[in-house]
Amino acid sequence: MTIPQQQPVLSVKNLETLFPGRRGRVLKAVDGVSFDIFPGERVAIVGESGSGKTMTALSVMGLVPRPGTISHGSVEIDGRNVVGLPSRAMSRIRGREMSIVFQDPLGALNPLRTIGSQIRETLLLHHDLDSQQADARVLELLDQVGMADSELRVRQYPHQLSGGMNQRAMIASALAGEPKLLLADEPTTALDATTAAGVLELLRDLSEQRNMAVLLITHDLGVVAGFADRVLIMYAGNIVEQGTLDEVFYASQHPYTRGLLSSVPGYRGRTRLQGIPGNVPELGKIPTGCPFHPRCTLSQEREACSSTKPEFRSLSPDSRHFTACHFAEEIVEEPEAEETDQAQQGLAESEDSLLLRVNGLSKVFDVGSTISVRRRQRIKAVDGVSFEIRRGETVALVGESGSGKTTTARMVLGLIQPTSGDVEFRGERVAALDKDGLRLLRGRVQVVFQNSDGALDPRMRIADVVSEPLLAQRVKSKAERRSRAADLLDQVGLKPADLEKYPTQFSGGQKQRISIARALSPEPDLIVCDEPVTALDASVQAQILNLLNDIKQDRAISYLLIAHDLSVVRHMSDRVLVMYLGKIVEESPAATFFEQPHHPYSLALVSASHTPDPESERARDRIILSGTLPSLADPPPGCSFHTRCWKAQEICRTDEPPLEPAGPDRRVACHFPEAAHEFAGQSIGAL
Amino acid sequence: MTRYLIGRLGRTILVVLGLVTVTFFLSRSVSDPVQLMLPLSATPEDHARLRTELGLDEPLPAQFVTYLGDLAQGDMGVSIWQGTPTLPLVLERLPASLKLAAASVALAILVGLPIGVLGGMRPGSWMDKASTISSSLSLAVPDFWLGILLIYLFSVQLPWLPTSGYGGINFMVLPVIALSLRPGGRLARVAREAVKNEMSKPYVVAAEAKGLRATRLMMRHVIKNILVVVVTVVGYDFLFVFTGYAIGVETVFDWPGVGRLAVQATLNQDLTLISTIVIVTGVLIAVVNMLLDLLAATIDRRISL
Amino acid sequence: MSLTATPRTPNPLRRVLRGAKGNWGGAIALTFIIVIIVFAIFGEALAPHDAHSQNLRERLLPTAWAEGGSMTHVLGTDSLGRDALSRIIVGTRVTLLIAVIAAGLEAGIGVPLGVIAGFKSGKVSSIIMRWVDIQMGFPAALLILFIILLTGGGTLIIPIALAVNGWMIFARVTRVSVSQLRATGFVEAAVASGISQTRIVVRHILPHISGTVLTIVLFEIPRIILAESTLSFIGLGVQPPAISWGLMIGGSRSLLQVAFHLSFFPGLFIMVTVLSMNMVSNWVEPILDPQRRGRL
Repeated sequence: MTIPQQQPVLSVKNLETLFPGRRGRVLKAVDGVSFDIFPGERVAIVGESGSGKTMTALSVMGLVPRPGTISHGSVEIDGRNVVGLPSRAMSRIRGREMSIVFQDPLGALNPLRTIGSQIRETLLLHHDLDSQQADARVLELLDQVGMADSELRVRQYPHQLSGGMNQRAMIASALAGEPKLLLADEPTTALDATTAAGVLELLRDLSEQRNMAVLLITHDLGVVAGFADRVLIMYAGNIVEQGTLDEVFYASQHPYTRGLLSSVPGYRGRTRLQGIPGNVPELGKIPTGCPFHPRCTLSQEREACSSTKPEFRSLSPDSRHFTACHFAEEIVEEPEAEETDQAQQGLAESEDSLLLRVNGLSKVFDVGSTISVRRRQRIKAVDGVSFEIRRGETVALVGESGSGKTTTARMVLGLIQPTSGDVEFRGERVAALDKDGLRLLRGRVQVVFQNSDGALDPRMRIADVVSEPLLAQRVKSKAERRSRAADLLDQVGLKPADLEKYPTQFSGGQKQRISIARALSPEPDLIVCDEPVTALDASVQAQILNLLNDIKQDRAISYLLIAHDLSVVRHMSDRVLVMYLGKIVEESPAATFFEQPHHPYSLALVSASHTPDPESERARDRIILSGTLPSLADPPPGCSFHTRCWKAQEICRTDEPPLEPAGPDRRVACHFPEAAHEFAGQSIGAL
Repeated sequence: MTRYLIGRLGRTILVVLGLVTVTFFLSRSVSDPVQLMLPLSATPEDHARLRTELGLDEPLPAQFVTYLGDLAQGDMGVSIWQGTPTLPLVLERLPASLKLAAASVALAILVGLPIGVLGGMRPGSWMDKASTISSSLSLAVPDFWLGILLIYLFSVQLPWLPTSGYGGINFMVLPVIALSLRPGGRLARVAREAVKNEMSKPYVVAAEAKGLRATRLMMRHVIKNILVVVVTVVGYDFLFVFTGYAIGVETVFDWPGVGRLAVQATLNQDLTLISTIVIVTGVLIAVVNMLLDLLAATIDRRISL
Repeated sequence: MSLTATPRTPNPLRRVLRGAKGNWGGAIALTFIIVIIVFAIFGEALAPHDAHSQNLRERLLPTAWAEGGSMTHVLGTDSLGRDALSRIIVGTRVTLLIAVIAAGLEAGIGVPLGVIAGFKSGKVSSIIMRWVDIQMGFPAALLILFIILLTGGGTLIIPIALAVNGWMIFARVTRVSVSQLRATGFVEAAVASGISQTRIVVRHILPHISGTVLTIVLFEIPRIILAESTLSFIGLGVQPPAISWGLMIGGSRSLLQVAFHLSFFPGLFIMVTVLSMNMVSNWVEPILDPQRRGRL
């Protein structure tokens, strides 16, 4: 795609963006970044949090928020430096020569104006059109971004549209000025997998059709593998590696990139994730010399790494593969990791091993006014869900928003009462338990939430946080609770000294370890893990996933895993349950699920997920679902998936398919459950 | 829309009913109206006779029903102090309060809104500091005291304006200034906060990213978005002044509004009149609130009725 | 945005004092408040004269800097010869006490109701909040007059009447905070672990709302001072022989031409006190209530 002879659309040279810190310090969000983008190229900037990737994009657009400033360097659009331009001139360039699409489409659109009027506004800023022409063009743009029913949508407000539609509206607005470069800052992070796949496909198509360069900012290596021509890896405000997609993914010359790749589940089929020790440095505390050196296995404490910042260079004269590492030549091609057959826990067949059984679980919510009956809506969040979990196995609940997986997990935990159906734990019905029985049960089933500030009480010391569940289990002695807490911290890789600290003093990954320690304290049989690694940086995710797997091996604990990231699911699970609109549509062993999903929705989900492997990404067929998620208050008749299914026949519209066995250890709810991937390759419709 | 109106009407009735019930039961049980109505020289027989006459010897719930019945017919009792029906007394004072409320809110918007918006547009600037200081000061001033101050300056020392009384613009200037200070300060505060918040919202950055320039940005996007908040705050202040919070200023300037009437009623131990005032203003509040909500929902489509 | 952000130094007092360095306005305001509190506690000892002693030969003396005034009575005397400055100093107590008691009562009614409504979503919660909505539609000022009429008024009734009409804000804000807290990971984890509801409320909920509640109290006190002053000015609030600033203004109203200073200074004190309290509250609010849950 790239022909280096042309003039670059964007040329960034030695860009530095600074923020004033406390006590006179200076925080370098972007520290001497240089790169070029050529017409029609698709370039990705990849980094974890704090890498400076978003600030780089904002600096290019001249939208650095106060009090930050661009202190050094140049940004050339078509040869013209725009750093320091007065805002009038800058606003003529923005939207015209280059546009940006942000992560949160709902936030980026004015909630009080129709999307049509907002797109129109952009149009009229950059083109001389009369009213009629403008209206026509708005509709054209909406069609180009794949917005169905464009005439209806034009008059609607952002909150009336789904996330995917809002993002398309944003893209339409960004295209209105016919820019040569489109920046996209995490455009799909806030969207469901199937929606995200559609948006990425759209960006790919637009780039090709219009010969428009796209700069994609993301933390997700899988997305990059399926999208970009060239990749820039950023760490702590610096670009540490730059090259073509294959060069970076298959022949990386920087230890950070290698570490990052080995942290992502699905890289080269590895079963054990490496992770990168330590944490991403805070903005004010970036190490001197090479910013990565404290975490680098290659550095081996050599003096050069801690004293001088490595030069950005290529290892051979003609190559355009650059790296910033003193010792890049020493990086050898690692042998394919021995496939240590990570034996998924042998599943005992006997009845003894049955831990949890869920029968016909349903939950109906009444939403809306408590007085006006008419405005009340019944939402069937979970509809007749049944499954089992055995000792020592990991069962994953997979689905997008509205699937009911979170509600189901909460019912298993006893946080929500089911409207009908029941939960059986070790053969006993939970609803029939008395107060004491319930209390004991709660000790047997624990939870690890998504890491966020709300997971641990910031006013409690770690010792109390970790030992709190023991209180309910009547462990009265404070000394005993403390000693058990100290033990647990040790098992999750923290120190006894940490007992006295408060949660705010720990990093994201460490807080998640604390959550895990808390969950382990009453010695549970089952832990519900609700998006346990979603909010963590890739390098830290690997650490936590490894920890969870180790614990499972050591203690024969079962997990009920809720995750939307299929590569995490693939890495951790024994069995996969796919949910759609409150029902289970497929249950399969993990080993075969990803190769041969049987339900069309499963296929779409698998197809929408990304692996950090450019070759398999290029080879795969993509299935893009049509239509949008139906409202839970008004589900479609017959098979709830039929409105978006390419296999749908008459019977699908009228009869709901039951969840039936379709093989020795597999259940599917579909009238036509042949291996769905026979229909692969059809990219159907728009959203 | 009709669904909403019916629902709101129901709500209003509930509120008024609550008010009526509370005032009724409180007044009948805590004190003895008869005692208040008769002169000290009255004999116990006089008391008993009046009691039967007014139906006060019936059990409370029965009295309540009778009361409600009278209410429905617009009979809200006779003023102990004035001797005439209470409802007309209250209603005739409404226009005066309304004038005061409308004028002071208008002045508050005129002065307070720009100060607040300008401050919010450039947080940290001298404009912002001035905005914050002036709004803090105006929120701290006791309105009745300011009224006295103004009278002293502009009526006593400089005989420009009349000291008190009801009439045309002349008479309105000082009380309106006194009354508008706190609402103005409040509005400036709220507007500043709202503008500051909106300006940092992602869509403003995105609009800038499209190529919109600063002033155009403000006008098109931000002002509309803070309108709801502004309308709400202004509406509440209007209501407050209208429904009795102006007792201080009305007293200072001898302004014949509802607040002043309530004070006089209290001083004269006129329970019936006070009850009527409370109920009438309660109804007004509920109605105006409903209109405010309607207005807010028209401006901001996200608000569902 | 974190729900329960806690900065490094958990001790709020230290943070407040550290903040004083850059905020000279706030520091002055705080000093004034401390002076006021001292007045309230030690009023009689600090006043130059006995606030109640009448001396008809020294009636209506002007301020010290006016013609005919003297330093004996810096702010002059009223129509009964009582020293104005002493009355202002001593009057601080009643004014402040009423405000603090009323605010405390409001919190005492509103916070428990808010906690119940926020923690147990359901019928009980709906009823409580429905009542809050209804009562918020009552004309508070007039109801206060109504209560004064019913009970005969008096200094003791004022804080109760004020509190009964002002507790709703506490219920509303507390309910919002509590229901947000109820949904946080650590509370849900505690519920999932079987921890008793009482313990959850005491250990997890109350510590996190105390800052918010305190913030609202700090904003309510000046509001109540203004309300009480207005009532006392009209003659329906604090009754003589007790002294309150509003009462002093009311008593001097007819003397506008002759002794304006008698109306001016008490009012000035009201204004400066309210202003100082508001400034201190604004300054302290981000520390006590980082999520601005108390935002009015």
